[in-house]
This record gives sequence, structure tokens and C-alpha cells, in this order.
Amino acid sequence: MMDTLLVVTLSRWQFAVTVISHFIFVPTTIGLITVVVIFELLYAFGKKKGRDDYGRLALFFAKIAFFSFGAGIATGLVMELQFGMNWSEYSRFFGDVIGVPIALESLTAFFLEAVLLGLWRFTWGKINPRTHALFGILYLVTAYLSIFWIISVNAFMQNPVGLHMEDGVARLDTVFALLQNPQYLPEVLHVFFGIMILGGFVTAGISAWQILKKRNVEIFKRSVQIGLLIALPFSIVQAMLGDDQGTATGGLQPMKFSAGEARYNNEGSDDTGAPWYLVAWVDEKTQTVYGIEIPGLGSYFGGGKFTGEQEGMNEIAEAYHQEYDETVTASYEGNMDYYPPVALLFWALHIMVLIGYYYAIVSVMATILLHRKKKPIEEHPRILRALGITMWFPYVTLICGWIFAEVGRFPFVVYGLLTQLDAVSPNMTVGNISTSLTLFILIDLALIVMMIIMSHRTMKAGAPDLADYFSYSTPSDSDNPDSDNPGSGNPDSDNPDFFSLEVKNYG
Amino acid sequence: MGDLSLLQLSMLVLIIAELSLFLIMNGSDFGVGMSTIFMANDAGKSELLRVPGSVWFGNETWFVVGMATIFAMFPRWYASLASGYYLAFIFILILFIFRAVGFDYRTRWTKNASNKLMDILLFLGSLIPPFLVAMIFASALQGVPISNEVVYAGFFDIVTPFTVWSGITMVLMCWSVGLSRVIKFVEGELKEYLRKKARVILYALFVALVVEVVFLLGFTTVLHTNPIPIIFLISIIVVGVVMALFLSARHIDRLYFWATTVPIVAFMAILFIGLFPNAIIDTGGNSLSLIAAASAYESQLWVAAGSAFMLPLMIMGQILLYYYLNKLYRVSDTDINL
Repeated sequence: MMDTLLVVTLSRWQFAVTVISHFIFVPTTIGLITVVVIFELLYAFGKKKGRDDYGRLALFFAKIAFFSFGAGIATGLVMELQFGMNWSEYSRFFGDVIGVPIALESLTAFFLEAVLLGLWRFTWGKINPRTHALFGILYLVTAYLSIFWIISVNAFMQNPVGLHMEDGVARLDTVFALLQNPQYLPEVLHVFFGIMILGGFVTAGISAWQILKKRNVEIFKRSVQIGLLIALPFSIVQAMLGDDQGTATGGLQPMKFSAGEARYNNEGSDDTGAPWYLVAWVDEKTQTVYGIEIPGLGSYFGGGKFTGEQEGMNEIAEAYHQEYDETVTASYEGNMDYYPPVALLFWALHIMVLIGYYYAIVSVMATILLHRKKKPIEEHPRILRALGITMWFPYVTLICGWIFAEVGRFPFVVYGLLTQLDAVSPNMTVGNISTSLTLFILIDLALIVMMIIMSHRTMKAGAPDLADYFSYSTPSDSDNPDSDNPGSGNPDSDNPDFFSLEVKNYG
Repeated sequence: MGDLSLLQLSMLVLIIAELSLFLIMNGSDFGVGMSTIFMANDAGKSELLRVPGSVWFGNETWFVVGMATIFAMFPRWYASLASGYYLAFIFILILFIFRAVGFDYRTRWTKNASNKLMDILLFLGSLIPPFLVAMIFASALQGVPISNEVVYAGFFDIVTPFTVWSGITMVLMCWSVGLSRVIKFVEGELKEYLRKKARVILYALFVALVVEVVFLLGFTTVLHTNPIPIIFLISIIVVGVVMALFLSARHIDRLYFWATTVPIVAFMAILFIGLFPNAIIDTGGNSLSLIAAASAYESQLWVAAGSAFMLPLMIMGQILLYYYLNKLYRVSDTDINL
């Protein structure tokens, strides 16, 4: 029993390490490539004035995105196989259900993502920019599809629907049931908006540093504005939508919700409201919480009104004992109190919420200040520096969001149906899991460090010169009167220019 | 315990095809990565690596597609396989990361030693994964201790002369595919130099295959249970290798490439015919059968429909990529393309 519990803990750590590193690379890739495709479209289809600037911006941000792409693929493979390697009993009993969206994800998204990115990257500067931009759009579609499928698996684990039990294992009703999960739509939008916020702020932040360091100031003025225009709407909608998801969680997983609020005892009544802690110190041993309270707000987040009773963890734990002790959690032999790590969940949720509101404020302020004609952007060093620091925050909030969602599921893997102890691979040894966990920690850290070093170097080099990258005739360097139309008269096939170019000779 | 339905059988064939495609297409990328050891300087290595440079991660995802299809169609096979061969899979995943790092960063450091380290990672990430993949499936065929569908295999249950030799054979097969592919692209002295190396690899593969057949007879029962298809497939392999040697000598490079892919397909077919109707063989006699591992009709139908709809699109995408790779191969790369 002791060994199994240790194996469970280490397996959870491994899942956390691998999923967090995967979720650092993936949003970086998807968020930045969304921006890159916008720049490329502006370059390929935009007005003549300023078009080359967008071409250079697309190249600059694509370089950074490509550094994280390979790591995203490699860490994505880890995620896929981990279901079977570390949580084989989960795969055994729920494979009928979750295997299907995962297989569909690999067929509709993962595979095409990798192939199309290869196509996009390899043909950059070698073919008609308009065709090239189309490849970028195709890649983005498949990347978004992968979010669509993967979140349906997570939504199932948070709120299992669309299954029936047969021959002792779960069987799938229909894939539509997975997509109609009430947890699904808010969750998939929440994750997608989070990725867009990251893409917007990272673009704006990197551009802000470039302006502060006086590298290609005129060019990066464009990208800082565009980055903000992406971050702004998503930040505002996210703040409203996150609240919806909180309310949904409260209904589906009351323990997670109350732990996020650090509420041990029931609070509020029909005419009084439950308070909400802005910040708090949680002592899990004595179940006491010291913090700054905002009266009534707890009821508002839980039920949409400033009054009303909110359940505390103690009462919820009682109910869970009644419901699950004899059945789902029987293998814990009574050693299960259902309290998740309260302080961790409280802080994960609160950091996410507070920074979420900060996004809305900072994006509104910066957008207004940096779009004014009166004073040029480079004369706002303070707001630029703030943006340069804010670009790191989306990583923090994304990780906090996943910590809250996943750790809050404790002790279940599939909520209410399968516990972590019953889901873990029965043949796993402490030796094996420690070996793999150590390796993943070291390698994932190395990947992140390399990514940061390379991105920093790309920044120092500044926006690349188009002439160095386009063997295909670019709109500006062509004397063709039709040069407004990139590639006009040059259909991308049969262009003899391809073969008259310098051929590398390694002999 | 019934028989496999037609749907299940066709999906099994599809899984074998996907894994074979992985071993051919990504196998050739592995082979090119291994061949970098023949090149003394960085320019030569770069010349070789331009061939898989833009396709390797797409090809790697055939493995994802194959494993994910196993997951949905035969969840209990997936669960037992992935957990039973835990460390082997961990090393495959980590070496895949090494290879990705190698490809992405091999020319990006200012220090030469760092770039060299990336080349070593790329080489290891190309050499060892095909070895481990073949070892896993060969071990499932040879048999491991299973109880309650869970594989409890120790180191020496998995690492046996047969599984190790299967891994070596797979490495040589991938190496010869990789070399035959690279030979199609490079020119001049380099082409002739690689052709010589490729012949050495092909002779080594021939010897390895002879030993592999002996092990197959000694360690497994495939020849007793399915003599005719197995003998047929073994002769196909022999024909493939001999044809490859012949075509390479005659400089018929396109067919030479296809000849080198034949042994991989036949080898995978032998492993899975040997396994059928089981997914993993138990040394104690309670093998995990495909039918016991299979998911229900509803799940199978979804994945079958998804595969039928998506596979043509996926293959079209890959053809488009290879089309551009061939067409634009002589246009020199900039650092955005690498």
C-alpha cells in the first residue's frame, strides 16, 4: 500500500511535469503562429505601404515559434503514450471512450499539424507568398482542431458523460455526447482564449522589448499594436467566461470549487453573503484561513448573487464519504478524507483570477496609449516595460489554470468513477517511475532553457531582412509594374528562377 | 470469446500498415540520421540532413497515429503494451526529444562543441528508437509473463537474443532505407561514397536476416503455426535485399529505394502474423487476445469512419510536402527553412 501510494504520487508528479512543459510549448507555437499568419496575410495581400514590414515581422516571430514547435511535438508524444504507460488501468477501463477522441485527434490534427508545418517552413521564401500564407492557414486549422479534441478528453475526466458500463468496462455512447458535455464548451473556449491571450501578450511583449532596445523600432511598433489588439478582446471575454466556468465547476465538482475559495465551513445565508478572500494564508492542518475578505463576493462567484449560502469543504467531505467510501474509493481502505491540497488550489485559482483582471486592465490601457497619434509609442517607456514583463504572465496563468483543474480533481482521475490509486499502472515500480520522472525534469528544463536562449538571440538579431530570405521574387524588389501583386505572372510552378539560384556545393 | 469481426480485422491491418509506414518513412529519416556518422564534417552532415529536415516530424506522427488507433480499437492492448514495456517506451520518447533537439539546434550554437553535442543527440535519437520499437513487438511475440492482462516483465524477459537481434535487424533495415533515399538526392563523389556504404549495410542486413530467421525458429512458434505465409514472407525479404543490391549496383535509384522498403513491411507482417490472434503472448499461456483487448462496436465505428475520411487527406498532405521537397530541393535553405 505504501509503495502504491508513492507510485501514485510520483506518477502524478510526472504527469504534472510533462503536461506543464507541453503546455508551455504548445500555446507558444499556436499563439505565435496565429500572429505570424496574420502578419503573413498582411504581407501577401496587404497594401504596398508597410507590406515588407509585415513580411519581416512574420519571419521574426516564426523563428521563435519554430523553436518551440519541435519540442511541442516531442512532448506531445509523451502525453499520448503516458495514458497507457503510467495510467494503464485508466486506459483499460475507459479506453473505449477516451481512445476515440485521441485517435480522432491524431488523425485530424496531430499528423496534419506536423506535415503542414513542415510544408510551411520548408517552402518559406521559395514559393509565391500567397500560396505560402495559405499553407499557414491550413496549419492553424489543424492546430485549433487538436485543442478541440484534446479538451473533450479532459472535459470527460472532469465530468464523465456519454458512457455506459458493460462487461466491467466503460463503453462509449457516441462522440457527440462527449462534445455536448456541459463542461466541454466553456472549457474549450477558456483554453483557446488563454492561448490567444498568450499569443497577443507575447507578441506585444517581445515587440516592446525590441522598441526599448531600439531594434527596428518602426517595424515593432506595428507588432506591439497588433499583439495588443489580439490580447484585448480575449482578455475581456476571458474574464467574463472564467466566471462562468467557475460557476459550472461549483455545480459539477463542489469540492474543487470550495477548495479554490479556501472555504472550510458553510458560509452565507438567504440574506447574507459568503465572503471572498482576496489573499489568504491557509493552514491545512488546523483548517484555518487568515486573509483579506471581500464581503458577499463569494456568493456572487458561486451563484451570481451577493447573498446565498455557499457550501464549505467539511460538509462536502461528509457527502463524499457517504457517496464514495464503499464503492469508488474502497481501495483506499478508509484512508481518504477527500480534501485536496487546499492552499495550492486557492493560490492557483486566485493568481489566475487576479492576473486575469490585470490582463483586461493592462490591455485596455496599453491599447489606448499606444494607438494615440499624439505621442509616439517609443515615448511610453513605462507601458512598454510593463508589457515586456506581462508577456511572462500568461505562462503563469495557464499553468495555474491547469493546476486548479487537474489537482482539484483529487482523488479522482475520472470524476466520481475512478480514483488515482485505481488508475495507476499496477506493474509500476518506484524505481521505474523515479527514473523517468528525473529524466523528464532534466530534459524538459533543458528544453525550456534552450528555447529561451534561442528566442533571446533571435530578438538580439532583430527583424530579418527580406532580401536574405526570399529567393522567390518579392513584391518590393521587383521592377515589374504589376509588383503590387506578389507572384503576379509567376505562378508558383515552372518558375525557372528556382533552378538558376545558388546551389550549395559541399563537395 | 468470439472471432474478430471484419471491421476489427481491417482496422488491425490498418494499424500494421500505419506502423509499417512509420518504420519506412520515419525509418528512412532514422537511417539518414545514422548515416551522419559517415560524414566527417558539418557541411557533409548538413547535406544529408536536408533530406529528412522538413519531413521527419510529420513521419514521426505515423507512430502517434498507429498507437492512437491501437488505443481506440484495442484499448487493453494499448494499456498492457505501454505499461508493460514502460522503460522501453520512456527511452523511445526521450530519444525522440533528443532527435528533435538535434535537428532544431544543430547549427544554432556559437560554440562548435555545443553543435557537435546536438549531432550526437541526433545520431542517438536516430539509432536507438527503431531498435526499441522492433524489440517491443518482437518481445510481445516471444512472450512475457502476463497476469490479469497486465505484463509483469523483468529486464531479461524483454531483453533476449531474439528481441535484441530483431532490434539490430530493424536498425539495419532503416539504415538501408535511409541511405537509398539520400542517394537519390545527393550527387557526385558523395553519391558514390554513400553507395559503397549502403552496400556494406545491405550485406550486413542480409547476414542479420539469416540469423533472425534462425532465432525466429528457435524462440517462437511462428513457423509451426503459420508455415506457408511465413516462408513466403521470408522469401520476399530475401528477394527485396537481393533486388536492392542489384538495383544499387545498376544505379536504378528509384526502384532501389522501394526495394529497401520491402523487408520492413514483410518483417512487420511476420511479427503480426506470428502474434495473431493475440496482441501480447504470455509465457504462462494466458495470452492477451485481440478480441479481449478490443473496444466495442461504437468506438470502432467512429475511428474507422475517421480513418476512412482522414487518411486520404493525410496522405495528400504528405504527398504535397514531398512534392515540394523534390521540386525545391536545389533551392538553398535559409535559417527559416531548417
